[in-house]
Amino acid sequence: MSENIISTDKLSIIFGEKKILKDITFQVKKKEIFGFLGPSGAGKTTTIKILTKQLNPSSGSSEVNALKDEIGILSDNSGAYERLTVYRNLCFFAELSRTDKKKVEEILKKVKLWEDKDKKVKDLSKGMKQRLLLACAVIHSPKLLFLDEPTAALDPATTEEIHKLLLDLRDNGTTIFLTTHNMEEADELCDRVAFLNKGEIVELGCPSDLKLKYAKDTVAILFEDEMEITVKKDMNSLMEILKDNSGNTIKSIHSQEPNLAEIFLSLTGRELK
Amino acid sequence: MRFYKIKALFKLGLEDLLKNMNVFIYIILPLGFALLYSRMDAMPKGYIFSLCILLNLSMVPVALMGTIIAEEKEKNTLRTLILNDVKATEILLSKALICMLFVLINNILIYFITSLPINTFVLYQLVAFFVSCAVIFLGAVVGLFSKNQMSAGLLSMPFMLLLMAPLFVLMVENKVIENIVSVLPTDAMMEIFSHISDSSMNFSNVGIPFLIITIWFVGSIVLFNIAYKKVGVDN
Ligand SMILES: Nc1ncnc2c1ncn2[C@@H]1O[C@H](COP(=O)(O)OP(=O)(O)OP(=O)(O)O)[C@@H](O)[C@H]1O
Ligand SMILES: [Mg+2]
Repeated sequence: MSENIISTDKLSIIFGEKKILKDITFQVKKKEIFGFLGPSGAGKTTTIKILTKQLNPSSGSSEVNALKDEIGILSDNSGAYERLTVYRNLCFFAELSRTDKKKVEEILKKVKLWEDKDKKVKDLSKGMKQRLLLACAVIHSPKLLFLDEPTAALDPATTEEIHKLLLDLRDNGTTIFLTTHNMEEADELCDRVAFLNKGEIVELGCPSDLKLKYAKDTVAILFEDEMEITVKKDMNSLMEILKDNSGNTIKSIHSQEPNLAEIFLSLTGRELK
Repeated sequence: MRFYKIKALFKLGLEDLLKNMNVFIYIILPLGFALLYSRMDAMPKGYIFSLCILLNLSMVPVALMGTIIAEEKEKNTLRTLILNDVKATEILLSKALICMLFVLINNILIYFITSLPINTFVLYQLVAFFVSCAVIFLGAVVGLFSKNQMSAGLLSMPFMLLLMAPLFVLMVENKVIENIVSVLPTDAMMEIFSHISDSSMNFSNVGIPFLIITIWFVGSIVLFNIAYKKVGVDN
């Protein structure tokens, strides 16, 4: 058995005249959180739709090594039954997957909805509804989970709760394929990320490796009098600065790591909004 | 098709329907009419029964069926279900079962409200049930073509009018319209009803009506299949 749960080969899709995805090739390993990052319109949702067989690619192929009932999906337009309660909705999804009802309580507690279990879905706030939909997507303990911007438009506290849940799922063996345009989220959650820009993967790797790869060729020197100087890493430039400031005392010298957003910007010249 | 999925869908759909006043009216209306008309002594009971059954058959299996399918699309639950390893046919079947349940309950209640003689009960019910089965496929077609509840309401109008046409035709004197109406399943049903009521039913006088209903049955299944292949459930 291969260690990849998803692998694609030169996936392309054309809508009308426009090529929306261009030769996308990547692999997702078992039990990792794989982040698919890109600005709005990059083709993230389209990729999920291809992987979950809602769309056929124009060319190329993809392979997902999970059965239909081993997959969970939270799409950008998932829905729940508005007139029924949180508890009833989740019980329904449990029944659909023949999951033990005990799990309903467990999951509702995890997504912090147990107190609101008797509320009707139509009376939920946006964040609560999103947590319910996530609960519905994971009630059957999927082997592979697709999440399309799971925390978009949620407050930081709710986002934090969802992150904890996702890390917990990953630690229990679920592979997660997640799209986001929130770089901090990707940094915090993802084992590996792919940067998607205008339908092309421009970089792929684990966040810490990427940060090293794109580390700036400068260091920052902070002096005792709070003066900070950024200087090239080579010894000559360094010595020059030190000579010029021989009367001063150094407080710290540190290398400057770019964050994912800066790497994305330097690769594409685009902001991630 | 998997029984446990259909069972879960059926239970949930039923609960949801009972909380949905907007469409519950489709179920209540035929009963309301039955209660109202049965107090009027001027009208023959058999006629009131036929009238209310016609209303029931156009409301529940057509308008209700179409609307509850369309709502699943409108609220994105249909897509969510399909992504959760539920088949479109399982969803449609569960909806059809829910509608058939109410058709049946209404048909029975209408029978007792209009207090027709008990000895013809089974015969009346069987005929009404047979026509309902044919008509529910038309409701499914309405559901397939509608994106939301509003369009389902609109799209079921022509079907409802068509099914209820045997009532209106009495008011107009037009050979062409009469001919059209005479091949409707509901008109055939009314003819069989009238033979049941005056105990004149035999093979020669109900053969043609039964044939008409059967043709509609087969026709609506074919229509449904074409629509299903063409637009699918989630277009
Ligand atoms: N069915 C479709 N027909 C035509 N064009 C489409 C279709 N679906 C998506 N597109 C186009 O494909 C591009 C990518 O869309 P997609 O939804 O995949 O973006 P995204 O990366 O998910 O963006 P967002 O962050 O806003 O969700 C967009 O330009 C969109 O207009
Ligand atoms: Mg998207």
